[in-house]
Amino acid sequence: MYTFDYVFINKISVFIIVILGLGIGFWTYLSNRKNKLNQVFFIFSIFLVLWTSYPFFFNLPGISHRLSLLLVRLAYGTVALFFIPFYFFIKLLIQEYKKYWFLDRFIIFAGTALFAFSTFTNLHIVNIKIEEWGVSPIFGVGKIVYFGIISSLIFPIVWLLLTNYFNLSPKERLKTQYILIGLFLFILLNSIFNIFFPLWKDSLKYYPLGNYSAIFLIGFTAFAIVKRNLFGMRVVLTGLLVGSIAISLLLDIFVFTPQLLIQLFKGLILIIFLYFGYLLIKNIIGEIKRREELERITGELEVANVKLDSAYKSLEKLDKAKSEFISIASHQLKTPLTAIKGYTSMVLEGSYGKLPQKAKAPIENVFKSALRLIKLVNDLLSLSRLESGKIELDIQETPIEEIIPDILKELALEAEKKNIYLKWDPKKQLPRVMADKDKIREVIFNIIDNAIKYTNQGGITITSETGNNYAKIVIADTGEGMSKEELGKIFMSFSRGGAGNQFYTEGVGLGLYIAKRFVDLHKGRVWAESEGKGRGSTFYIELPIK
Amino acid sequence: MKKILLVEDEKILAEMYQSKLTKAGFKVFLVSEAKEGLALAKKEKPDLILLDILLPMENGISFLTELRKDSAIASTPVVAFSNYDDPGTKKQALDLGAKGYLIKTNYTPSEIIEKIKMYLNAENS
Repeated sequence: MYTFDYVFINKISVFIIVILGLGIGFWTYLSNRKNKLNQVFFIFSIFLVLWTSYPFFFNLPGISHRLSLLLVRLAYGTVALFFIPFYFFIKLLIQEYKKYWFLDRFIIFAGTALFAFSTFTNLHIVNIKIEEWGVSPIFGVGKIVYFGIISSLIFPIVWLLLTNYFNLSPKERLKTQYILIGLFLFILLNSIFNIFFPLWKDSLKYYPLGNYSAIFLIGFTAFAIVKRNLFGMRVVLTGLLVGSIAISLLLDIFVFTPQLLIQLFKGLILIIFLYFGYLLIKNIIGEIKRREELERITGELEVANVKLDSAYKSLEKLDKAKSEFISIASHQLKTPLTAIKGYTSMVLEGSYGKLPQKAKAPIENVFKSALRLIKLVNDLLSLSRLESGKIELDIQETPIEEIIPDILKELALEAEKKNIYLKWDPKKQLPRVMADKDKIREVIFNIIDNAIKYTNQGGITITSETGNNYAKIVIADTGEGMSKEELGKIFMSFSRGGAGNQFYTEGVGLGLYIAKRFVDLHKGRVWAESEGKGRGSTFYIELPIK
Repeated sequence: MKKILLVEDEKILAEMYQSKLTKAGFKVFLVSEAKEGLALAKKEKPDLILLDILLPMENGISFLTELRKDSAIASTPVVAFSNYDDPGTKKQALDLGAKGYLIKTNYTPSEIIEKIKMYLNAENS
């Protein structure tokens, strides 16, 4: 057995505990001077430290018997007094400021009375006996009274804690748990060394060790009060477990292992164990942190989601308002255009008397301008609807071979003026295509119209082809043709092709763009081919039959 | 002489169509509101109603709904006639029995007359 100087170890321990205890208490007080909780804690931590340090004093060499006896009595008396600040501390902790008038006075009275009883009478500590390890108290009948009243001081406090525990917020509960652990360790170790050990070893030699556990109570309580973010109970309990096992191993090395070699071996095991214990705790803390981070992110995500939802709703409203605006605006634009087109057509027809020859061309120009404006408004409306995805296809059986002659009739006058021919040459009966009739009509119209604009001699031939599951309309002209570059751009919006600069200066290049978008909506294809500038172009519209 | 009820609130257009229709040999009744139109339809029993859609107070769709409810005039052919190029409204009008939904700017007044004659012929046969 490794003999060590028990007395010496005791002295060192007392010293350490006193410094630590006072330090922690003072640090807690400093961290929040105004808070009553911190103030009361500091007071009761002083009492605890005092209680722990007493054995040092009454064991001092050269001290008189009487003084030593007084100090022992004082030590037990201080225990009683300690419960007064401790009670008020617990009251502050659970935030009960007003109730328990009777209990307050009982605690103060009982504590003070017991202090006086223990310190100034000889009923509790009759005398002291000097042992080789120190001073040992000799108890009288007052011992029963003492323990009885101590219990009557402990129970209300515990009761107070337990009944109010469930009213606390989770954070406060965690604080209380910390304090309870500190208290538990304190009571446990005190019971072991003050009650169990004396019975087992028939000696009070080891009771100071119980008092040292006061540091746990001080430590845990201080930590609970001061730290805003406490580790969860999982971490604390795991830490305590690891700590206890480590201490047991340490004890085993020093107390129960005689051979140095085996001591070293066990020491190595202890170190390895401590390392894994540290990893375990780190792991748990990491896991908790990750979970908290996840919760935080989830919270932020929910907030972002709500914002996104409301932004989306605003956008929907805006979009709807925009569509309505466009529809109404185009309607408003068309009303005067209807009047212009209508009246000029009637004037040209002679409804208001015979029109002088000189006036014919100018009025025709007005009429044509009105037509251009109307087309532009229609195109802009279509464009706006295409861009906002609001186009709905009204699918019906579309007889292409009826639509084309109709278009040609409409454009006949213009072609005649330019002295070019318009030929419709259907090779076969075209199958009935399922499509939006008005839109397909517009597609074909736009392409033929475009062909007329860019053809100044010869003419335009429209033919058809049928495949397995498609119908093809081919519009070939003998016009200006297109370079490879122009072919690429022809179906883009607001493009006119290079030839546009020379020949066709009317209008913005929306017709072909809209034609392409409409054909795309039908899941068809539209494209152009040309052998080059001056060699004419051929446009193809391919529509699926189904 | 065929009777045409013209429901149109834009004065400038109303005059134009009225003048054209009269010149084409129709008897024209002109109103600018749906309610007036229904009352006149009941009274005069026109052969065709040319109905603008965007009207003040009640619109053309509501006119059609009311027309269909009144058995005396429910079978009168109606041609919807508007610059409001909205597929939803067009479908509503056609579902309520309109013979057609013409966009005003797409036709000259002469073309409108042709259309009306076409609809009237279809009615008779």
